[in-house]
Amino acid sequence: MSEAKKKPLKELWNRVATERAAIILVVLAFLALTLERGYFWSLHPLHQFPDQALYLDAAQWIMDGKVPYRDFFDWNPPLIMYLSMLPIMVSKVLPFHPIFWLNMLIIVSTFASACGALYIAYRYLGRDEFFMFIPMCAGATFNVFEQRFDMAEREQIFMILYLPFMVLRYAIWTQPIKGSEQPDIKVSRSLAMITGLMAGIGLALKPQFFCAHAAFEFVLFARNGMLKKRLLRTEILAVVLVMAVYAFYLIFLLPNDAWEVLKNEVLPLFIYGYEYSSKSLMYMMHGGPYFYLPMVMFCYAMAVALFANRYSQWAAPLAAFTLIGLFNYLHGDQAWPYRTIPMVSGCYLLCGLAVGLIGKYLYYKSRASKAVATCLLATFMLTASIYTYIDFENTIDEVERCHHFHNLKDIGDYIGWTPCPPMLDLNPTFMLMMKYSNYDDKVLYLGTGINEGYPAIVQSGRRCATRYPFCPLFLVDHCIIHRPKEEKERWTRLMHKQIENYKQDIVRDKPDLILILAYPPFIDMLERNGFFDSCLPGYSKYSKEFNTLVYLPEWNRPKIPVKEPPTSTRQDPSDESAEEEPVTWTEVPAEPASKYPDLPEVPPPAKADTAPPDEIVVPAPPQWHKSVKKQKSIQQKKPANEKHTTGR
Amino acid sequence: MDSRADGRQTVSLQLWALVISIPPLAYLLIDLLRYRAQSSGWFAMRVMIAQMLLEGKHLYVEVFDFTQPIVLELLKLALLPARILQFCLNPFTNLMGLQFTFAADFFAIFAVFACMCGSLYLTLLVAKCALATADSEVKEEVRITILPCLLGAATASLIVRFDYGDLQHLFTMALLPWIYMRWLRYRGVEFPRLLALTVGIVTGIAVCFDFPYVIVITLLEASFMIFERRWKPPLKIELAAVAGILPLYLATISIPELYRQKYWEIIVPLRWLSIWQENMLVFGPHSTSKRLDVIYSMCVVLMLSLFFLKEKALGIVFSILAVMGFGLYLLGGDGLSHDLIVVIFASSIAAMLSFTEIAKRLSAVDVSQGRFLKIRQAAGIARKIEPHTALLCASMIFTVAIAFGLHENRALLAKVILKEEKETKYTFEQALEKLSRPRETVSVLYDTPLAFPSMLALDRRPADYILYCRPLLTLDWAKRRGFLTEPLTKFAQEAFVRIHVSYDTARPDLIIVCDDYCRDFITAEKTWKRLLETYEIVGNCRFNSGRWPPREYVGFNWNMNALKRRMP
Repeated sequence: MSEAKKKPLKELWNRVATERAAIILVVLAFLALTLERGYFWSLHPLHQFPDQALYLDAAQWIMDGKVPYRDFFDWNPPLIMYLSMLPIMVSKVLPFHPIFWLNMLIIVSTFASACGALYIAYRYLGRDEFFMFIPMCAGATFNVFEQRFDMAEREQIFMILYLPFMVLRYAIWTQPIKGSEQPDIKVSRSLAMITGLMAGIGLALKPQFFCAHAAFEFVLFARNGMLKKRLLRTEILAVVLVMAVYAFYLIFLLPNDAWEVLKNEVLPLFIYGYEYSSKSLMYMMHGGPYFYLPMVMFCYAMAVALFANRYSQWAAPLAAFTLIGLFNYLHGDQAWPYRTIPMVSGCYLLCGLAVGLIGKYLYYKSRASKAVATCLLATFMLTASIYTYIDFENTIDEVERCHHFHNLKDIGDYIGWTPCPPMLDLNPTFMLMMKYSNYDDKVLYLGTGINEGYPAIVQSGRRCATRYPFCPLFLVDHCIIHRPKEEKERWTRLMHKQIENYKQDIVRDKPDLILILAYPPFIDMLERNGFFDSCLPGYSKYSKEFNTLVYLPEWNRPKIPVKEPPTSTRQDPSDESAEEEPVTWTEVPAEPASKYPDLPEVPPPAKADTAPPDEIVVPAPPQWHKSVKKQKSIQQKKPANEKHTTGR
Repeated sequence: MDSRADGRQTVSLQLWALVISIPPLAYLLIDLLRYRAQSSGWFAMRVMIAQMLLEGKHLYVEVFDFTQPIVLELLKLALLPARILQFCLNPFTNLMGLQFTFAADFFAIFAVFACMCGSLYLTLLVAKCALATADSEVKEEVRITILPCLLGAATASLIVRFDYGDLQHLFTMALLPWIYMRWLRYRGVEFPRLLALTVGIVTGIAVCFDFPYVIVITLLEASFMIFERRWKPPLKIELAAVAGILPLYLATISIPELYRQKYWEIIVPLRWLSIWQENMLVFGPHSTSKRLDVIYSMCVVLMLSLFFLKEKALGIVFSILAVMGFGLYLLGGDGLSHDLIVVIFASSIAAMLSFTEIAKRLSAVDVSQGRFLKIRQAAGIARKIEPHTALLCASMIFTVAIAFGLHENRALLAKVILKEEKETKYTFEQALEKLSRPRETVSVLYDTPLAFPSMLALDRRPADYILYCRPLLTLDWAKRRGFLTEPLTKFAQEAFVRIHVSYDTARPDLIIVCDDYCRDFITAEKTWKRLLETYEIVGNCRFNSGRWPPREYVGFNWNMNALKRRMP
């Protein structure tokens, strides 16, 4: 009797001990990854990409009381802008840049999400399923952690928020329920609520995400049935609650004039104007490693799903999730790799499943199964450690090798901490903004996309001086040219309206700096539509740097150093001592704004009194960091009272 | 009694196989003969090379292409009857003062069609053998799967009509009996040696058509092994044949000194480079075909397989073949439809197998019970329908639907022609017809071999050493990245000299130069300038291609200059 009692107890102890050991090891591995990633991002405190930076700015505007679409133009659903308020709020309390906080929040959330998913798997999946889930979770988490170029994109946030929910739903679909022979799994209501709320936020970020989840649920339903009992649950109600609140906000709280802009300006441009930046299907799948690696992973993961389908219930729903991910990416018709994140996460989960199944096979085939399990876990931990170490070393090497931008004291004065980011994280537009404006100045950037203007505006702590954070004019022009003739009038009206809006914004906000991308078709389009004549009175072209036209108002024209008359011996431009010459400061005469900007620009003849800004113009990339160094040294020579004036 | 019943069933199976294959195959044959000029450019080019080789020219000496020599040798065999007939009829036609030539493309088309029918028949023979020797469970599976497989393959051949005869098409023909035989081998079925050897040799030859096919066949075998959980595959004669033919082929082409040198130093590295080459032409919007229809269909088929073919090795292996086909499409890198043939072939068969499984499951549903009325109704209908009749109906419906699809593609092409006729002086065909005569030499410098179907149909002869410009682009790409080996560097120089010499010595009657990088290349080599001394531009033309079959451009629908020799 005692023997019989002892045995199950021993087994239970063994089970608990093994699973706990597994959890501790895996969490430690995740922690190592988190610390390493945290270290990496702390060395890149201003590293951000256009979309995410725009959301940060939009969050700031919302906090300032502005309404999306009405007061600023964007074509993304507004939830991400509200989510981006979180790092802004943190940065108001703690002394770091919002970009830094955004990246850190993502890292911490990823860790929390992975731990949450593991906990749910531990609590609600069977023992085998739990062990199989460990490599899956590791794969998906690794994929989310490794996003260097698409950090904080909505796809990444979705995967972070969705992973625990996915595991919970899987557990609910695959476990027996009430009324059947075996007992139902009882999920803690608070856990289900939290998981559901998080997933609801993730799913509401983009409608496409909902399709991917619907496919996941549908496959599990088709396999397991009992729809009603498995659907009417707390976590699903939580998702519905989030959706309902979001829908309520959109329908009732978003003002009518915001809807008008959304209906008449945003959506038509989103549907037809985006064609301008579309790429061919082959480019979307083969245009470089960021495109073909996800596709290679897709092929591998699909093969895994087809084989693993016999042995695990995970395979089919994950394959459905991945296939919808591929559909979402291809149907989006844009070669933006971040859109592959859900698909690639699905692939990682499937690859993890393959590893899990092999582990399970080895476990049951082996006589010393416990030893095998320990070995597998130790291998996992070791792999994570080695990877972390290598990446850690790489990060240090990379940061040590590249130049840093030290001249961010004006930002530091405001946010209480002076960042010193690597030059690689900053674009030339950032340099121009630093050169021609001050912290919190209003800046207007006109280009063919979000790029360049963002993230530079957020990185440099400037403010966008228009309701159009990115210039939609080129897209409208594309529609005027390429849409059917009967639509031409409508698009032309939109063009006039947007130019009028620009004009109003410039008159109202008086930007301290206007930067225009010197891309000939873009300049031609602005000229054709009378942008220079109507929107830039009081502004004059000051220079052309980094393929960007710099327009400055009369009140913000900096004093430019005038070179001493040339001496008989010509100096080597690379010679540092050349910068030691004494300089005097004088106003540069303006060119009229309405004049058609000549491209390519021919430098005016060198005159002592009208010295062109060539002396301080930094040459084109890739050597631009050296030039900035030169510029920095020139700025350092300026007297304190001769700083750029804003006229305000 | 049982054996008699089995025999009757086998005869009935053969009849049904014939009946369900006839609609797609018959329509395909009619379409091929009706629209001869709308065949695959690559196929037409290979036929032309084979024709030149039959006429006594030497591969790599007078004509260059990185097609495997075995393909050209097979095409030579296909064209041999035409040559013999020509030889036999020549005395009579000369007596009558007639000039009569057998159109090579007819013979090539018929040869490929015969191969296709042969592939289906070989698969049927494999099934017949299994029905004669296997146990009852396997017999039942064979009865269920053979007709969907044949229908899927026949339908796929019709879908890929505009890429008929392309390498992937020929490869899939060999794959069908191979996969079917290997599946049955894993189920313990024994086959006559001759049949197994035939299947093995056919597959072995097909594997030699292109390097990635070796990987495909290896992964297929690995798929069977993983699915059947066997570490050791059934080592049978067909496997030995496949494993033996590739080294034999490589050894054979390495024996002649010239072949060995050119093959290992130029063809193999060039093909390898072409796989890794980034084709900048396809980066822009609308620069390649957007075959989302095929990719989405593949996704749906994968989902169907996951649902309904979970335990079916044959269906799973075809689904995996579809995924591998997608990999081949990515390797192709041009986004052209001819890289999707394996996907279409495998998806069609996997879809047919899934539909059969759905029908089987439906007919097993208890009509009197169950919650879903619609499913019960469908089950009732499924029971009433005879499976073979259903397949025949499916065959007809698919044939009609695909015929409409082909018609739509042609209508789209007609629209392009109508639009571009206003912009150019000639269409490409008009330029060929009006500016040259049959059997005259024509040099076309273009990125892809789109010109060759028309040239073959109108009986024009190519004048160049390199028949299309893509190898030049690959060489240029490799040169800029420093990937060129010494022989390749020499070859690159030689290629331009050859173009130069062909204009000076062969003096083609008509030269058509595309305005894309081909023109840039010959301008950079100063050939263009010299060309204009002896030739004059008589007009411009275009291929009138779109982003869909039958003619797909890569990059842009470029303008072309037609040059005629100046009158002395």
